[in-house]
Amino acid sequence: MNEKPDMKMPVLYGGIVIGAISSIPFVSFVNCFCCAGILFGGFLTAKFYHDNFPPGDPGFTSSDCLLAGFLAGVIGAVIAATVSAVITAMLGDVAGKFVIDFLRNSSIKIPEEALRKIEESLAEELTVVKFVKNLVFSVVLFGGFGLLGGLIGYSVYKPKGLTPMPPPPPAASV
Amino acid sequence: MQSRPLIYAGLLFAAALWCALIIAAPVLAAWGVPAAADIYRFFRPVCHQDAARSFFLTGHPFAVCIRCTAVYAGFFAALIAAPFVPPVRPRSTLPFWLIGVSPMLIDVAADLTGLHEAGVLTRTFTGALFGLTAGFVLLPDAMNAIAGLFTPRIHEPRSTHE
Repeated sequence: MNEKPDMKMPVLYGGIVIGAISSIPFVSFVNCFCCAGILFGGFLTAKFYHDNFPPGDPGFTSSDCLLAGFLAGVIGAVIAATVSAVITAMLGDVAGKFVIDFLRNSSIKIPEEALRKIEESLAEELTVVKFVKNLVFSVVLFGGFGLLGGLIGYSVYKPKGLTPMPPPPPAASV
Repeated sequence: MQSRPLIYAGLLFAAALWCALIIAAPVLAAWGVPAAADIYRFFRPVCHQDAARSFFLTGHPFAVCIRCTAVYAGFFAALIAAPFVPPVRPRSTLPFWLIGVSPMLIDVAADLTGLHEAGVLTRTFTGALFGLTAGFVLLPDAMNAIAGLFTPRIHEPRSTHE
């Protein structure tokens, strides 16, 4: 019986990618596209993990990718929340201010109330309670999208010839 | 496997809850329930939440934009429809991903470069296509993955020399 390759390093690399994409101002805008940055990080985690297996090894499973993507998302959430808090404390919410200026100067018609609400949310000071709340939300979101990214990675890199389990039949009626 | 219907039900419930939260935000906001603000905050990292690009309900925008709403609705629809659709066993899922995501990427790119203005219809259609693709492609792997989490994490090598 063979032990599977260690998934610690792929998870760590994936988490760092997710954390970097999600915390660097302006780069983090990519997550506005259905969390594309987090999906990409989860995908990369599955790819890195896949690379540790011999080609075509059936030991590379969807469960591993699900778990690895989830863990990478959680690590990415912690990195992103921490780095974002540091950047915001040092520079302020530069990306948020840019968005507000862009929306005010663009031809897009946005209700004044909506703009005011966005400005209010940006003006809120970062407290410990708010940081913890954001961290909890991020762990849930990043973990969920990370595991989806891991599954996408598995669907692309899975050993050829493996057939997916068919979906369950509808409930039988008597 | 006895757990498969349970796993499917769990995935369906999670997707339904996700979509329900998106629609609940404007309704709760209209009722003045403070939890609405938390739902909007929860979805903020996922979406730009630009009100000009969102569906409205009771005078308030959905928790995510039109395109994201369509993606999640498409994903949910795929989970509902999957048991009634014959399973496809492709050698590679890459072509499915390309077909699913390309129209959306083209729509976004054309909008950003000013070639064409993305409207409600294109955002909804391209988003829903991506969501449907993701749902149909990922569901079998997701079910296998969850079922596999409860099996031992060791495997037999293809050829044994031990």
